[in-house]
Amino acid sequence: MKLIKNNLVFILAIAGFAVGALTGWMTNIYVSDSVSYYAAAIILAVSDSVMGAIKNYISSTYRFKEFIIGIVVNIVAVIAFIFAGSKLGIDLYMAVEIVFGIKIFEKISKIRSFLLNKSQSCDKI
Amino acid sequence: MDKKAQAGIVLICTILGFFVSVQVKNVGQNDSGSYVSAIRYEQLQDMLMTEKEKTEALYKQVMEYKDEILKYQENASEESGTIELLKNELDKAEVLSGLSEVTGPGVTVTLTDGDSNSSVNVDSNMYIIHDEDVLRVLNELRAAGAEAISLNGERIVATSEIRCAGPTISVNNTRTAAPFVINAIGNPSELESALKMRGGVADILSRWVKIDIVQQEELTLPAYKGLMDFKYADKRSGDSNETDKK
Repeated sequence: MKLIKNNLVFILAIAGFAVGALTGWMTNIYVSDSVSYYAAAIILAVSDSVMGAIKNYISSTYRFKEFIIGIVVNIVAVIAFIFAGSKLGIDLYMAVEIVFGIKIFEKISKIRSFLLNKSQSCDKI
Repeated sequence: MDKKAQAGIVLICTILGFFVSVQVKNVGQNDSGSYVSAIRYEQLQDMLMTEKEKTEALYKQVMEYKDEILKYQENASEESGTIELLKNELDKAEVLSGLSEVTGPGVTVTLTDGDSNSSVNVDSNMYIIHDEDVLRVLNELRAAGAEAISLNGERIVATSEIRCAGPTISVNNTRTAAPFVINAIGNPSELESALKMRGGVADILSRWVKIDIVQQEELTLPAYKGLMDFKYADKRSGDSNETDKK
């Protein structure tokens, strides 16, 4: 029971993700090819922010304002970046994908090491 | 941890899930064509069209040959029919070799020297028509399906030369000077558009010389005036297929 209460936010987040995915699947929204690049990059940016939030949440340095502002700034920056790329004739969306991919992996590894250390310390007690 | 913060994460996760599934769904739908760019698509379509046209033309040719074979077979016993067929073949050969006068629709291309007076520091040689320029026009006309061509009243045949001869051009060992009038029999609009193609012969030549293309409803091309005697080439008797194999 305590475990569920402690990790309630994660369970709710996953449930929210599932609900969102289901509604997205049900609705028929058409995304054109050119917008598709932006959407994919924005998804990566938001995933990065969510990973960051989870990491901060675990290490109790999470701040709601920082999280929301981070997401908005990330999205704006990504759009500006890709738009500039399309005007310059460079596939800058690849740069966005690589950078956020790396960042997401870094955050996952931090979350993992944090959880591992926490559980180990619990075992010792 | 306050409730607002938790609600924030959950809300963002929901929105994220929504967009991920929309994106995945769209990518799945467009998968077959989305990675083929529009330009490539057009190119492929063009290639397909030309191949289709080629196939159709070849099919027509096959049917014609089949008809021809059938005619030969039908007329094998009838002497008079065979003679007529042979006469038709001879007519065709004469048109092809330029031994007879021919009439038909086509185009008249007039090449005139450009005027280099407009600016001082230019190579005036560029503004004079050379044998290459004439050859390019002739080549393009042939590629567009011209059936008979004449240059300044000289019929172009298989042995015709077009060659620089001082300030003139030598055709069938006869010298002609500018302006060069090329008459070609064929589909007038096809010939004209082949020459006037963007980046084509007329487009390039018109930078230096004057090129004038006029469609004609009826043209008469003279027969080849020269002598056709072969000193060295001798037709091989027997099965002609064997000569190719050697």
